[in-house]
Amino acid sequence: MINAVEASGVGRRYGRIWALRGCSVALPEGQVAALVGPNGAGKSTLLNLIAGLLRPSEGTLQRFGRPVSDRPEALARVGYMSQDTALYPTFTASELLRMGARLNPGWDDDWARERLTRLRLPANVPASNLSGGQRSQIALVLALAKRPRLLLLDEPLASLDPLARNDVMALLMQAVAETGMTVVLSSHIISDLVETCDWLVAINQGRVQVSGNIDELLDSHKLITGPREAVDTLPPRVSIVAQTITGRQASVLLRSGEHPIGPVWTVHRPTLDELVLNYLRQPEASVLPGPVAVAG
Amino acid sequence: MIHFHLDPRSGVSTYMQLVQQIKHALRLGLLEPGDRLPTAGEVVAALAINPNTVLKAYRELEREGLVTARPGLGTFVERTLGDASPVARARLGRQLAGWMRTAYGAGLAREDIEALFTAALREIAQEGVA
Amino acid sequence: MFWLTWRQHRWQLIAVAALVAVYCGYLLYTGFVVEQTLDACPSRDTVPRNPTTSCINAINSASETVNSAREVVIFGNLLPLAVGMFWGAPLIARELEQGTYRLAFTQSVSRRRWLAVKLGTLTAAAAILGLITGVVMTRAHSDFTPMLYATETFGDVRRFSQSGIVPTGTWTFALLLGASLGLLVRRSMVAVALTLVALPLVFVGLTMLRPHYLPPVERTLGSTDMIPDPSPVTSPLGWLYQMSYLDTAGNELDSQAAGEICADPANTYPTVECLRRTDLRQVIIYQPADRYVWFQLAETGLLLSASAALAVLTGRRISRHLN
Repeated sequence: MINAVEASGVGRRYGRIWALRGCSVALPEGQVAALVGPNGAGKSTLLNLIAGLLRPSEGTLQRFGRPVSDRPEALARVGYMSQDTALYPTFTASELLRMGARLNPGWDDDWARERLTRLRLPANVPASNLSGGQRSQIALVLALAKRPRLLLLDEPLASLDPLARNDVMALLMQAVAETGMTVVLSSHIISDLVETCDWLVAINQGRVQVSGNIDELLDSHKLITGPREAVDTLPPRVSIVAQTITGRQASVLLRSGEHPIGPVWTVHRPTLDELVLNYLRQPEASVLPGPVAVAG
Repeated sequence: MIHFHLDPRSGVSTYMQLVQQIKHALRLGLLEPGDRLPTAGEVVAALAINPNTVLKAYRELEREGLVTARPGLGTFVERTLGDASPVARARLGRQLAGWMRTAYGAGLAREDIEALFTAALREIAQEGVA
Repeated sequence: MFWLTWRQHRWQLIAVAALVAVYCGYLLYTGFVVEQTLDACPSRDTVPRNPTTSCINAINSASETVNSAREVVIFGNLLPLAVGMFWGAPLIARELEQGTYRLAFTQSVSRRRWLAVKLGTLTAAAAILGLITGVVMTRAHSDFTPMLYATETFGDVRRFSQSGIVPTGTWTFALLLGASLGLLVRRSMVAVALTLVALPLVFVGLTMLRPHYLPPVERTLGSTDMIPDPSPVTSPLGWLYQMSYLDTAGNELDSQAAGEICADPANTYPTVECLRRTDLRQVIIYQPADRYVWFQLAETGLLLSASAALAVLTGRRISRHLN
């Protein structure tokens, strides 16, 4: 099975500042990947790099086993939606679809128009007169209607109300079910991603901390809670990701290992939320990427 | 067509809830052998969950022999759950509703009724009947 | 891609086309008016020996018309400037500024093709509209006869670049310069301002370069074929660069000095009569009139080559960098 995205040591800098560095990710095809991280962590940069809108300053990047290229066949395979939902302000939704139909050979116009109706989006209002949420949804339909093999969404849910979020995720999941496409979507609201994503990429301060299948990640970590004094009694070889102390209680995220922890601790399987929050709290912590193992 | 209803806070994983609800539908006779289960696409269009979760649930049911996947056609119900006939089930359902009405009339709240019911279930299970 | 180009630039195209229509209409109308007016005179090319009053009035009226037309011709220089500023500068800059390049470059069209179609169609439009103004200008001017002291085009700083095929080059270059500056600075307003400054500089530079396209010809004239002094830069003979005189000793004299030798109280500068009685000869350095076509081709070629170079550079840059 081919990897939808394979990044090896990818970095991108602006002047002397590295927005992203040492990024190595191997995302298998058919996954719905959540790209999480604080603002400015490098999520948009990574998505722009995969979309071919930016060139890496170092490292290699491949999509479906081929280097990122500007050729129409490669472009047709990738759908992209930008964070500020770039749309031509004077174009109506109808005209935007027309543009999509003219510029993409694999365009499914009937599906696109049906989607606009289903999402109750006005077809003949210029984009600048629409709300942020409506623009987001149109941008998503634009990206999906070309039937991409890889879909890159930069904060697609940001300006949507809860009902619209649900509509959009349902639309996305249905498209995934029907086409088996790979999706990478970034968000900083993790609860939106819990039910829908099977892969996690966590970026913090320009570095990838986590990249792996969510079930495997949650299985390979433990969240333990206990009295704060017990923290010092943890065996030294236990692999701690992060710890939080509130009042007299301590909560520690560990990577599962064979080391006994002691009965004073209560052990849980972490939720996705807990996993991500703990990693983001500790920028230096990282987990080895999935199928492509880094030596060490 | 079966409608799913997910409870994110129940502590039960999503795919397990799907399995349970399909089994529930089988028991109530809402699904009969030969019926086609909704496709993954149809389910996620309503529920906004990952299609793999649906497929996982269907695979589990297939493992238990309750459904069969026929490539290109869909997933179909193989057999029902439980041996009671629909008539018997309907009669028992009415009896249970009657008992509940009596309990409400006696001043029991919903939680009391649930507690009584769960306790009785457990007791009977230990007797080895269920 | 053609639909997209039209949809994004339709008002710009229509606006400039309308301006061209108005401008050309004016020029053709002026030519027509002059032609009609001069019907009052027996000949259109020479002033009759005993002109009738109506002919004199006609000539005066026609001269006024030609003079105002000369002022309006400035407008013809503004048109390519507008093309550079309003078609060219925002072409790429606005997409970068508004972020819509993220939409444009993630459709199934390569950046090269995107640029090629956009720039290509607008360039074709600019070239055609420019050519129309050039042809109309030449046509209208042919109605402005020497009788009205209308000057020739060859050597006329203002009109040379607006006549014949040169506007094709000017308009094309203006567009490409604007677009390239837009890609360079990535901000529409800055690009517009830069284009506004750069284009006139280029045009001025061209007028300074123009005399050097071909080496001029030197010719010595006697009393029979001398040209009047002073003479306008443009004449039926061609484009006059310099006029001087040679005395018998072979010394070169300017018009003033030669005039002193003539010692004619009625004329400061030498006349035919003076050359007849003295041994003074007139020397002119000029471009013969039949070279007009070559100069037109040279200037157009220069502008189109520069435009092509800009197009190639822009295409290369847009394929590689962006942010």
